[in-house]
Amino acid sequence: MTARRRLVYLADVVGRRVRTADGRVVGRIEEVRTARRANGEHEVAEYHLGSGALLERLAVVRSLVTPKRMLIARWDQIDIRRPEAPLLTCAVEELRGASR
Amino acid sequence: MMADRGISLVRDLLDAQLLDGDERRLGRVDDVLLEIRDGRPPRVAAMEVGAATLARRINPTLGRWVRRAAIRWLPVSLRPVRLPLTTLRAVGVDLEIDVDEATKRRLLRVEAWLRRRVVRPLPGGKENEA
Repeated sequence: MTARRRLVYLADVVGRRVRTADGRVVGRIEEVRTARRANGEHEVAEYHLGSGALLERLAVVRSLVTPKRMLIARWDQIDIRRPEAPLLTCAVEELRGASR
Repeated sequence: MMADRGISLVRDLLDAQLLDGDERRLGRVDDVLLEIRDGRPPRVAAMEVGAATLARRINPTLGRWVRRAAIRWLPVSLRPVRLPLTTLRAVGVDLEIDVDEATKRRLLRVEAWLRRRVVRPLPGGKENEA
């Protein structure tokens, strides 16, 4: 049996609101970080969400503005198979940067 | 120098200028393709360069229109060029890539067509060529 493969454009994912299974908005995907494997390939490691991630992406010096909230989700904590509606696959409290 | 710890796709790749080893401009990264795999992290399949890709990013309908218009009326192909990330040599303000001459020709085919069909016929156009 062959594994299912599908191509998704980054621009379709970035800026999309991530929702929980019950429809609650967690934040927008502002950045996608990759990890480089030994074979030279890059794999998605984490997604950065929220206004803090946007400031980081725009390289706004954090000391000049009020620190903003940034959530970091591992690759397996967001399902992007439907890029127009990314889905959180875990509890919000499990994201890095989330207040517990 | 390329960082071994990975890259930020939006900040470092999207819209970044592509340069070859001689610092010749080859276009910009118009989008990045992610390959979704069951049970494994999405893989960065390729950087995509092309007017149709950029148009699609602005609006999917515009992208389809540009592709159709190019096929029907333009004498030069606007088919996007896909570059694997293994071609990346350096990531900075610009991206240095290592590609063969055939790929460079594909990346610069619109510029080459404009040079041949528009600039060269102009008075003094031939003298201005490098």
